[in-house]
Amino acid sequence: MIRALQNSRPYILSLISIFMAFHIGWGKETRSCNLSHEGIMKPFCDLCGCATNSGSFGFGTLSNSNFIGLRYVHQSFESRDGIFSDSPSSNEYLNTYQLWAQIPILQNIYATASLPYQDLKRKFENRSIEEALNGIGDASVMGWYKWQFYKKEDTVAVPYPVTRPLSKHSIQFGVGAKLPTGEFEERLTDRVNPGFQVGTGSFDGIFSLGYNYGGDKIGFNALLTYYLKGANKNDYRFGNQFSYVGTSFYRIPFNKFSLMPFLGISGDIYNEIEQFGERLADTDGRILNGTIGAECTLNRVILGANLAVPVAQDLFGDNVQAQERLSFYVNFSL
Amino acid sequence: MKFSYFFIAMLLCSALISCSNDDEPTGSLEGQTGTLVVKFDNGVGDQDFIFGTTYTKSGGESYELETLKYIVSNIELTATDGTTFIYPEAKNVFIIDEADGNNAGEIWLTLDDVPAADYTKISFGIGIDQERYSKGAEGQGDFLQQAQDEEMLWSWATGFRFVRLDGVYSDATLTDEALNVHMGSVGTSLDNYREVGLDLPNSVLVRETANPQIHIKADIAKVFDGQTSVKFSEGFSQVHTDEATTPVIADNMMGMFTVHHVHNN
Repeated sequence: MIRALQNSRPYILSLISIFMAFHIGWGKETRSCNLSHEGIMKPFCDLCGCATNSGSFGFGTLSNSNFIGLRYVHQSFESRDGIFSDSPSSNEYLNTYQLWAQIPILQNIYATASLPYQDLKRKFENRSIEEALNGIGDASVMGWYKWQFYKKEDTVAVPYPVTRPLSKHSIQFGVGAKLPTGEFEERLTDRVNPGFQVGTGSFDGIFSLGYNYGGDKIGFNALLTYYLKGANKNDYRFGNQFSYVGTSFYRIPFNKFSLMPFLGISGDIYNEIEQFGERLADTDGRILNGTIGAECTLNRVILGANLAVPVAQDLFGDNVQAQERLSFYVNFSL
Repeated sequence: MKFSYFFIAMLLCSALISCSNDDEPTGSLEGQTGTLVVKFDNGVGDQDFIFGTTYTKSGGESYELETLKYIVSNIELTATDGTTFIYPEAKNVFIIDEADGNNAGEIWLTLDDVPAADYTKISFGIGIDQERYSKGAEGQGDFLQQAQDEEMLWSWATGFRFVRLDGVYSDATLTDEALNVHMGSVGTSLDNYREVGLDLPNSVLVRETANPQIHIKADIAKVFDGQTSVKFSEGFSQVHTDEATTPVIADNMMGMFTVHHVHNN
């Protein structure tokens, strides 16, 4: 049975991908999604939803190991609160506490999942009032297939190795979904920014392709992710999103632990938002970040810190400026 | 093993329950009405308008205002299918007073009982048309008192002030000279009522359960530097009932409105 399943593994995976792609594509045509919340979301809100969930931030650890852990992410934005160049601005502070995990399922199949708790604050330049909101955000679940390359056959070596040695290269494919689990508060729809919510209210498809190189000393990870976004109850569809991340790290072994400083880039490209089948002007955007950080492995505990600094950005007609994003995590290897 | 089945089953389920076709059947809008908010946001070029701020204009002149109000009437909406809806006449006249602006400097007009439809265009008049004026003082309803309170009426015989800009202007030689631009029709002899039609960048969907908004940007700079650039020092610092200067201001005002965006929620 196990062998049968292993043989059919690629088929099952392709079936899932095709099914999901078809399903979401079909959902796009009928343009309605029932699982969502009420109220409209400003483009900004998709940033809250995705900044902490995004492919540009990675789904796991540097060494791509299995784990369960806790991640804290702090990010702030400055957005213009009006239509004029000198309109007052507001600052949004997003604190996310996230339960995240990478869980092995079969030898080459694993799942990643995250469930965020969002704690959002918004301060207005010209007013003393402050908006605050917290609650469970949008969860995401992904299934991954890891294609581990083997070393080339060495004809001189022993002719009957029990298992072929693994190479340092691997490729992963992931398919998953972001679920509208974020709670919605009715009262906020009457406020200045009704989009100040912990969730986007939409069901989104996530498709990823990753490459890993893990040498003894240095390693490199690359990940491309595409988000196919569904519409929420208000027929509001955030623009599809393409995220990329590239990270290289260096392993410094110590007696009891190892330290891996890393350096990389990450970015997101957003399409325009659609509502009721019409595109909304100035709702597309792009951002490129430089990332720096380190991971420390001590027995089964992985501690990590990651700082992303915007290098270039043009978000939503330049009405929103993303600032540094800082995250810390504690993971326990499985 | 069990894990993998569970996982695959979960993925499939989440995909299955995600979307459904619950589009409203066409024609269900019949008899439905909703509320539409029209926001007026005054600015000068791409700057927000703020009382007491000095703005420069053509001809080396600058101005600073302490009063900024104008009359908007006869709001009409055009739906996707070409049908139009005119807001009931008695209620279809408003004073946009910058002093009434909210925190964001927006003046909100709330239109009730608007037939549910997808609207693609908004039209309105600046000032009071001759038909409304011909109904006499009694025919103006509550608006007469409102206009008097807001000092938007000269006298019944002369009529309404369509715009009221009070402040001071300066140029190379003069400093803080009085500036009063009060344009209007003069009785029935001079008609300065003008109409503006604006296409919406996105359709605005009026529904029983929705609260859509049209956000209109009004560029005050266009009052002086519109179709015609006027000079305060050449007769435009005091514009009242003059038949030469008032139509120039009226024509300029036709070009000061744009729809910045719409909100559908």
